[in-house]
Amino acid sequence: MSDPTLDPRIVPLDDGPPTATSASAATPFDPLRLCIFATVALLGWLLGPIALAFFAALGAVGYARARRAGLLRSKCLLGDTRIVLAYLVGLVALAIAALIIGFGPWRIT
Amino acid sequence: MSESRGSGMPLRDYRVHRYVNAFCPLCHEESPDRPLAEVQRLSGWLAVRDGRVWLERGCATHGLVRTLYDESPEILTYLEQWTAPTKVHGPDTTGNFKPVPSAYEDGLPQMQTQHTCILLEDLLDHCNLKCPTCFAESSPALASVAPLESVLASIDTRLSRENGRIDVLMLSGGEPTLYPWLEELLDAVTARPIVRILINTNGLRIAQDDAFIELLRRHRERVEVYLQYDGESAEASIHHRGADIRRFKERAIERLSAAGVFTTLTMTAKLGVNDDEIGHVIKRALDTPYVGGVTIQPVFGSGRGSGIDPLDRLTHTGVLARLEGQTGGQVTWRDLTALPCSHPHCCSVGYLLRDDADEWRSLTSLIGHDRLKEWLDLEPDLLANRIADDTIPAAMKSIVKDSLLDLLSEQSSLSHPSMASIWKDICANCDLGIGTLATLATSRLPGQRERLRSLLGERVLRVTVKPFMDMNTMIEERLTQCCVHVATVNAETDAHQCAPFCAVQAWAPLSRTRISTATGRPTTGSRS
Repeated sequence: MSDPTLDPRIVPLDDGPPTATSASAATPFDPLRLCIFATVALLGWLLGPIALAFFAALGAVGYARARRAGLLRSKCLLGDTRIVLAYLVGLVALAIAALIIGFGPWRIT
Repeated sequence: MSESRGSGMPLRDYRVHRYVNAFCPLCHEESPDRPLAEVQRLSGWLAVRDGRVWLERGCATHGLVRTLYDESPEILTYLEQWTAPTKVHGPDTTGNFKPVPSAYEDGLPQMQTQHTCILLEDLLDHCNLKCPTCFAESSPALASVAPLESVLASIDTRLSRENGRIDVLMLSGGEPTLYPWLEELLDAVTARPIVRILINTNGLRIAQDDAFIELLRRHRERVEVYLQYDGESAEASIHHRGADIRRFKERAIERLSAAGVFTTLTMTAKLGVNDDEIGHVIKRALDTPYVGGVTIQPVFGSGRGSGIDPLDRLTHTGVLARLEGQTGGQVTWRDLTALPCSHPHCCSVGYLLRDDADEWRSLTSLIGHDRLKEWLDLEPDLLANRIADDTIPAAMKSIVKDSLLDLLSEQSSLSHPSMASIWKDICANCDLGIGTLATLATSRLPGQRERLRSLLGERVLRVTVKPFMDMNTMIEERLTQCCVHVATVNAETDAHQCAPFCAVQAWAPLSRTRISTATGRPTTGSRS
């Protein structure tokens, strides 16, 4: 059998059809998302509209590329990727306005 | 005595879409020249995982080998609804029950399930380009040219096995416009019972040679041009053709359109290179009279084609999914269906019609999916349920079904001689709201044929997606039902025969039996 690290097409045995060994050794649930949510909340608290502008712009670029690549509906609650795009662009505008005018719960001191 | 109960077996993280026979791409790459009898057919399946379709097969040497098969399980399932009965074929060698692929060494075997819809004759290996992604590995350095008499003998052999009729003859190569005896060949094949002749070209000669345009104009009732056209960017041209030759392409399109020669733009599309230019190619075709078709071919890895990531590539359903976003909603994947006569994974097709209000609408949106299936007899249950409110008389239904099957077939194109009657039947009997087309198609006024031709040239566009297989996507059932056959010559008996296109491009021992390579001799350089 070839070295599975040589070609990405070769599936390592523990990632292939389940075997008795891999079935009984089920991995415990990794609550990764909870850690991500907490980190995003921390960034929002520290950076306020700067964080909002950054993440909303990142999202808008990502969704624009995804739509260009054929994604018409997202798992996002808003569904249609055009609506998601409009929402994200709106958030960017809101964040820029907050930075310039200085409204909302966060202020540059 | 009590025993502790275990958690039992977990579910797999994928759903088996269908079970298939496949081949190992790693074994193939290690020894591409191995005798076909030594090629292993492997058990495998198409697995739906993470919203994509993966081809997984078990190889005794490499274990489980996984490659991307298609990008959208939803669209693949949709395509699989469109299947119709196939036509009987004539085996090249009676009693050839050898397994795939070694069976193809003796031509079409007994176990093939589709006749030859398209016969592809490679006239020569020589080309005036050296495209980095050429599946035939043609180049200016190769001078092998098939003798005219061998090409005609090959065509006549096929005619004898196709009950005296070939639907489509595709002249390819190499660059077929450089074939020294092309004029004689066109005269000879138009005198035979061949419905349509396609010339598969890079367009360089068309862009520069007035006499050649005249030759095409003279044969335009039967001859159509398949012009390689990869999009609007210089990057796409350089990547696929090795140079920025866009000005030649644009000039070729203008000259073909002005000469009234039906042209299909054939786009080789690759992820990250020009997969965002599919919409542009369709719009270019919609805007150009006599560009009657667009064929989008995701790049495949046979021949010189390389640099394709087998785990992340552009696929059949990926092209279909991109249509709506890139055409502003003008064309969506639901406007296309699988080609009913071929394997549903092998080709999808859709027609766009410009109505009297100047709006492009698709045949499926005009007819409706359910009604289309009903007419094609693809859903007997649906048909039975609707007998009571069926408004089409039985005789009309049969005519419409046959017309639709003709339209949705490999043989179809706008220059097809039976197009007038096909559109007449569809337009007149189905109330599609295409008033002018219907009027013209049903009228018998003098000059009607020329007017219909010009109307079709300006107001109908056929869009197809044609994903060819390389060893990373090859499954046996698609070879078995393949109807695009390449002319080959038996290595032992010198008999003319043919074999499925993807098999010939993928396996070197078959590729060497292509007529241009097997019978070819160096050209004298003179053009008669």
